[in-house]
Amino acid sequence: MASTTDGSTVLGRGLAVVTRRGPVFGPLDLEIPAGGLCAVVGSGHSGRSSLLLALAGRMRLSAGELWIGGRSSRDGLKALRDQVCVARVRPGVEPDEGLTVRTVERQSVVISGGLSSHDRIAAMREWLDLDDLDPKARLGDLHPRQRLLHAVALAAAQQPAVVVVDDVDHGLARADRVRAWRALDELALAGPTVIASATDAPGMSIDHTVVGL
Amino acid sequence: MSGVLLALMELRRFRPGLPRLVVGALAAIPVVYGAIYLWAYWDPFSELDNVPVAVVNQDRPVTVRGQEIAGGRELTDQLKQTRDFDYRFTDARDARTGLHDGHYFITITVPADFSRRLASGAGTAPQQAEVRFALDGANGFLISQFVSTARTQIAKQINSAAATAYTQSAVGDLGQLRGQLSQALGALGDVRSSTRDAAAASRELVATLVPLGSATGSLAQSGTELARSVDGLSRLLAQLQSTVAPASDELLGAIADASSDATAAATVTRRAADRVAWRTARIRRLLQSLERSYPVLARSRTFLELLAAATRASDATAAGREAAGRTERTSAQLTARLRRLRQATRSTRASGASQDIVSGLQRSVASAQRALDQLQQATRAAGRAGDHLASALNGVDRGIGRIQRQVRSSLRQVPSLNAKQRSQVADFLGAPVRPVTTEYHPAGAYGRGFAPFFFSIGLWVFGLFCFFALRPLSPWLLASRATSATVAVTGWLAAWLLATGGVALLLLVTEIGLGLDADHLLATIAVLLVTAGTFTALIQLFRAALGVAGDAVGLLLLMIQLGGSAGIYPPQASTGLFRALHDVLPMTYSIDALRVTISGGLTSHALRDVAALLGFLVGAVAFTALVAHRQRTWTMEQLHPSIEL
Repeated sequence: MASTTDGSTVLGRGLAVVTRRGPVFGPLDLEIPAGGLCAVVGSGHSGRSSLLLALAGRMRLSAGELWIGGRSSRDGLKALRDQVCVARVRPGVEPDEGLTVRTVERQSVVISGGLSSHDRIAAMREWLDLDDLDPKARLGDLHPRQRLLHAVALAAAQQPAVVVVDDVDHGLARADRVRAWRALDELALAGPTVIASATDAPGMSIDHTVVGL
Repeated sequence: MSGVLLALMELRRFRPGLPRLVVGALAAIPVVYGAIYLWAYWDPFSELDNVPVAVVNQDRPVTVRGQEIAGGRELTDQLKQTRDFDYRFTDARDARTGLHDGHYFITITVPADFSRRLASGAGTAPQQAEVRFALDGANGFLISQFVSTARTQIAKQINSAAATAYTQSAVGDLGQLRGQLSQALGALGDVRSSTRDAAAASRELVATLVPLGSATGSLAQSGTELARSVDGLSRLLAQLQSTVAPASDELLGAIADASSDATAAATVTRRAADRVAWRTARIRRLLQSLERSYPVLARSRTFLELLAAATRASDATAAGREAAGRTERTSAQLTARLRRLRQATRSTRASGASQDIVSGLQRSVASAQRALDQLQQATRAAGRAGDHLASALNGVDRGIGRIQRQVRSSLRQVPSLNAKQRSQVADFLGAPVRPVTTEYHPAGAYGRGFAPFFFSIGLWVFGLFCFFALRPLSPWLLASRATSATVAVTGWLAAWLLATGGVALLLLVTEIGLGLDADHLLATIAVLLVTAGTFTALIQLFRAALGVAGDAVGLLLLMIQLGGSAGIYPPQASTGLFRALHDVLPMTYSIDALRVTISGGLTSHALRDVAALLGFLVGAVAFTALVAHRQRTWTMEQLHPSIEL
């Protein structure tokens, strides 16, 4: 198993994002231990994606303060951003479905700024039980669980402190959901803090923190 | 009815705010596409007075018969007054460089022989004068249209200047002609006075003929007396012969002497009569020959009277001569008989009666002498009068000769033209000045002239459409560790790579299919690639920074550039706002650069244009990178756009 960096603690107090149209989420508090798994649970349009982006340091908070690995959001989002890797935030912030597996992996290596490599990605793929992926298959043609976990593998290969992944449930039947959550749990145990959003909570067998929206 | 309701619902599905605004803004498309260009070029030919035109006057004025003809100055003065264009009066070198630089759109040159050729119009071999127009296709496409307009406007001034020059020289000739005709008129005056002298001389002649007539008459009378005396004497002689009376030798001798005197007198009288007859006949012949030489004299009553008088005198003197001849012959016969008688009867004496006859005879002789003297004087006077007449008529002859010479030399001033020359002169007067146009870097076919404009439009529209499909900035990349510059360049390069294919296809079709025949094909390709890069970068920026509104900006900017970038007409032909924007619009530079690479022009201009385009490109990408940097922090609008195209 490839060693990963240790995760960071994620702390939030009074986190909220408000727009002209009204509140998006919050105010809410959360506390995620380093290397822990957090499930952000809520229905669609509950602001899950926005919360995930905010926790990734990629959305400005209207209120509250966020700490990741001891760095505060009030000191600027860059420090937070550098610690967090986004596996996917739906819609839009995800690998292009028209690209092939191999191409996406190459892209990931290039844009990781040297943090990722083909070996690491291969190792993460193996870790997340994705050996049977056809390199020439287009992402959009993959099984949703494979697509999800592949995105997570790309993120994890960069060895971030925190991995954020959106919409774990999407397109998955119950059995697949269990497998997905188990994989995320394994990842969290191995190193990074994992924050994942879903419609439903993972279930009792997985140790996680819950943030309800 | 239900259709209308459902249609309205199709529109109402757009939420209030940006979505409705964007859909509503679709109504602005017709006015943007339809009206902006028209606004820019509503009346291109009314803005002509902003189009700079260089005027070079190289004309050398000529002096024709004292008149100075300066056609070039005339023309420039008129141009200064009319102000149809923005005329700048300068020298040849400045005009030439300015034309190629784009400072002047047209140059007008008046050549050095302009005035000389104009003045030739009054002669037999008129040469059309030339005015030279020059324009450079690199300055704009439909410049030649402006040249046509300029030619029409300037033609009026040119023709006016030409007409002035021509009239000046023609009027100068007329003045000279007038002078010569005045001299001829003066000569006519001299002829008139000569004819007056002739009239006076002829009157004098008539006057002398009167005493001539009376002298001839008295001569005739004394001749008659003489004849009578001689008859008396011969009767006496007959008596004497019949009465054989002793005749005195002296008496006979006296009678014989008297008779020989009478004969002598008769001879003299006859000779005088001959001379008179000859003189009057000569006068008559002179008058007749004058009449033949100058038939116009036949119209003069005085002359006819003169001629009649001379004829009468001639006839009378001829008759007189006849009579004198007879008398001479009779007295000669008598003298001879007397001499014979004297011989025969030397001592015969006559009675006193014969003494009377002798003295009578002597008296007749004396009177014949006197008459003879009178006749001589009268004929002398007639001779003098005839001489006067002759000299007066000589004066007339000389005067007429002078007039003829004058008129002949005047005729030489008026050219006699054959048909070919007449048509040449007519051509000249119809079109005294010929405009000659030189076009540098001509575009040639309309298509070639329009190519820079439409190529640029094509690339801009490509940019607009391109970013309907492509993302200006990839959200996935923005969320990653890739730098903002990388994200910006990625989005731009993706579009530019597509554009490269578009440029290749464009040139393939236009060069080979349409026969564009660009002067510098490689340079054209390079410029097109740079232009594609610039335009895509700009539109990427608009889209990245403004979202959907960025497309509207791109569309608006397209139309503004159509109006302001001088793709067809020169910028001076557009209305004020577009003229002001001309230098800050990217398409201005792509059009100018493509003009140079396709139809020719200054390389320095093309390089300047490419530099400007690259400047726009780099600036656009830099700003897009800034936008990317900002967008790394998501907004709700970014996550859930209210309207997507």
